[in-house]
Amino acid sequence: MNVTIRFFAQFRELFGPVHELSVPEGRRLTEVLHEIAEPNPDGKTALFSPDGRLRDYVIVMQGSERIEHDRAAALELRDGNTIAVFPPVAGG
Amino acid sequence: MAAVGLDQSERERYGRQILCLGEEGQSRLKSAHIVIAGAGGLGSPVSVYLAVAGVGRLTVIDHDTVERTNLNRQILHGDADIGRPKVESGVETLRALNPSIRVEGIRATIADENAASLIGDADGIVDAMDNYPTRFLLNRVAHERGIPLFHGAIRGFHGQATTCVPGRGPCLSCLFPNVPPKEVFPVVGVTPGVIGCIQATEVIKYLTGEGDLLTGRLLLWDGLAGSAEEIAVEPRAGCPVCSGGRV
Repeated sequence: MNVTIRFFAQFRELFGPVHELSVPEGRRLTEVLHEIAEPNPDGKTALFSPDGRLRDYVIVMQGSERIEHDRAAALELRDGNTIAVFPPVAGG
Repeated sequence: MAAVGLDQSERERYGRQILCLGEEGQSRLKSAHIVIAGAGGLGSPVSVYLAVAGVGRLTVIDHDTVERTNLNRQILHGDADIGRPKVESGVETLRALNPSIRVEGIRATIADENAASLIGDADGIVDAMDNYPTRFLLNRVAHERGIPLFHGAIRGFHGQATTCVPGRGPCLSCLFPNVPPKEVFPVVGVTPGVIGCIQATEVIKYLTGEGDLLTGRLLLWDGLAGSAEEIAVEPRAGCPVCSGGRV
């Protein structure tokens, strides 16, 4: 199945804007994010804490719905899903 | 906010935008009081454009003094202002740009104990802060008062903006339940220029009733790609501020 992961703000500089992936049925969202981050040490540090969990400030959205991190860990992706991942920008 | 009439010099000064907003829209701007929280990177373009647009009363709040490192982006201040309170040089700049409006500066740190009184009877709050704890404080006051919070934030070439209107969409705490650690953020001066202008546009639209606000939409600006995208956002059930969008 095909899924799209879109990154914004500084995550875009770390991972690029869009990852269009073909993944096996039943693949979980955080598994996919780990696969994207694994070859990228700076990106991995920005996205995940040392225990492998998404950093608490990372925003994960499916459409207009925020995916809470506990749910992201268990969320099985479906064909055609588009997920947005970004950190809040803080400067002013 | 009762609309007040325009005199001849105002009709002349705002002639080009009266073509867009009408005299009634211009009068609404004249009758409005907007608080701009922060006289830095975002606060500079927001306050400049709201001043020249003719928003009748602007209150600028900031606790800082001007430093040389501010000058790549904080266009309210110049080299000669280094060491001066930002509200002092900022108010001077704004009064010079438009002497026909009322501009006041308050040198203060926005905190729990003074936030409500600093906001006073404002019709809206512009979030031009550089940290989320103060943003959340302003978000709470805005929600309690039933007035909008015009949010903006920047980093590097990236920025975001949204307009939180109580009862009409998510508040800032719905969008960002957790925030990143504070950092010395990189910034190219044009980025707060872009985002600040978007915030000022939102204020003008809100006050005049023109167009569609960025309510329930988070605009994400990528200056390197030269593109803006938006993400629809909904009130968050269990939000400690708005309880999922209630007034």
